[in-house]
Amino acid sequence: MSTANAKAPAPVIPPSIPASLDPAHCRAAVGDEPMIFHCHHYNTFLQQSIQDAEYIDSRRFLVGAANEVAFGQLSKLFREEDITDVSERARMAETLFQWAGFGRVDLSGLTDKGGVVETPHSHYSHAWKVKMGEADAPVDFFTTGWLSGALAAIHDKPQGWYSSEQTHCIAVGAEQNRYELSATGEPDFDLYKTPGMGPLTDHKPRPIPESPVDYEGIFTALTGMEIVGDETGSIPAFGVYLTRHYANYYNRISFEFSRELERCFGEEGVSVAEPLLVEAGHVCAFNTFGGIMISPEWDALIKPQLKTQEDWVHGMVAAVNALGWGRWQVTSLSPDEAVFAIHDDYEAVGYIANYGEAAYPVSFLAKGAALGIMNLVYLGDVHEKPTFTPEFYQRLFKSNDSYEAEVLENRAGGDEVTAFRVFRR
Amino acid sequence: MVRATVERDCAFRLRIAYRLPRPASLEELDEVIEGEVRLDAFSRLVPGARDLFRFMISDVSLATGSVGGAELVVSYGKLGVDASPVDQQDFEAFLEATYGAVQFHSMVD
Amino acid sequence: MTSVYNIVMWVKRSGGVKSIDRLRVKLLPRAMKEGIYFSKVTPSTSCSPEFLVALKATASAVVGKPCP
Repeated sequence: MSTANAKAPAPVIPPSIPASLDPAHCRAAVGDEPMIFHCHHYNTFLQQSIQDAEYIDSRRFLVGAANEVAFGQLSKLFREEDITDVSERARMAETLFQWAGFGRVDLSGLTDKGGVVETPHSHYSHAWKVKMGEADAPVDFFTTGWLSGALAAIHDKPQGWYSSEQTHCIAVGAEQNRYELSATGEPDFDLYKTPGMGPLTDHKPRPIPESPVDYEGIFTALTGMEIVGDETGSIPAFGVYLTRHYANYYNRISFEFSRELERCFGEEGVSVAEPLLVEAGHVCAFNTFGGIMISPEWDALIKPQLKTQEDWVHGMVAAVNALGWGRWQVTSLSPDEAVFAIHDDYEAVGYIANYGEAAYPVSFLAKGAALGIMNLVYLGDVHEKPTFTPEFYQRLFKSNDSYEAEVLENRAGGDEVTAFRVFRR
Repeated sequence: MVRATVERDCAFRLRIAYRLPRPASLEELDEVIEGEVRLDAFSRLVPGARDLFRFMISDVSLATGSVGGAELVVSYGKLGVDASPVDQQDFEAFLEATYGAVQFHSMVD
Repeated sequence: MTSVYNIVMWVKRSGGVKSIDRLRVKLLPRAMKEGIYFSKVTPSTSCSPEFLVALKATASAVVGKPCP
């Protein structure tokens, strides 16, 4: 048959991702899994902090948490979208992984017995190499667990049916990542049941200081932007590399880390875990919020409304509301101190859903982020577009003028919101 | 003259902010646009906001600017992928031909 | 440096913002065995020679340069 007469294969149109937005709670979800934006700085720093505790088996929950969210989300999606064909399910899973900015995976090498996945595109591995340098061992625990959960959902197997191991890693110097999955019927990680959206409340927004910042307009504009993975599954936006990640993944790894240290070492364990988890929030704020505030997107959408430094704080809080972290408000504000009130912050909601009421505040990321906003605006003069170097980070967070934070209200402990007072030392 | 400020993005990729002597139009920029232009019509949602545009100048280099604005920010390369030096050379050659000489304002290592 | 206090102060001075917290988490089990709480270290805090060696090595690792 001549090529002139050969029928060209029909173009493969990837499925669209059914993402839903809940403006009343400033949340976004896919397959009943709350999805939130975080950048590669936070992703790597958080993982490194957890792995620094070499005496606990963190792999079990780093992989288990990813298995949890992938299995829960994809199972739900396949049911909701009535996708029963295995190859269509695999394509949906591949598309979701890419859309979310985790990289790209080709699941065609997998069967119901397992198999191998190789990819040169991995958010975690590339990010680790850039941030931390070469690693001694594979670092992409997230994809390792995600693949096992996805494969179980695709083949209607029990959640822990597939063991999963990353054998090669870009961060270790390999050309690409390699993951091996086997249908052992026994997971080699901890199994968790995802809480999904968790218990959300009816928000009663509190009065905020007068500001020209158009919170609703900014929320609509930012949530309407197409911020999705490109052809390599990467999301470059606002000068950073974002992932549309899982709130339940972050919660699981953070809280299992903290609870394991508490189990082993009591109060001292908690006192060691908390600063690291809050520091991860600083890192996130410095890089993501800093990146946002000097980005062309900010210049186009938000900067035209800003006249004072207080407006900059309002502008950043308005932008945070589009990240899926919950509803943020700044209810009082001056250069010396501010009060941030967060309705249904994702950490508190996740903690309650998984573990019940907390005996102590658990909104670590939120605390670090609130500190970060004040340090960036009032100490860092972010409006002058500084260069975001490690030295600048030191100056913001280690100086005698750096802000501190105290917890005023703790949603995870039963209060209406999570609230912080952030003040100059 | 085009004032260029060099910095690094969060993955230490080269990122340059080019300040043009006048606002750029998408018609003028057509020569360097690869593929589609993503346009976010912020002006319809927030009074005083400008519309944002984003386009690729190669497989891995992304340019961002705003309608009516005179700044273009280009990230050369992205996480895990280096850009060819040709990306910057070609783009700056276009800027010179269209807006004037490109002068580097400050260097950051 | 031959004391817990001096090494911890060196880490605070020379390391990044997160260095002292990384030191704490890395050495937590050993520190607990020695009865050392990093938040309560004073010039008179003492430890075993083995812990001192581990402390110095970990300090170097988190700061990214040799601890003097």
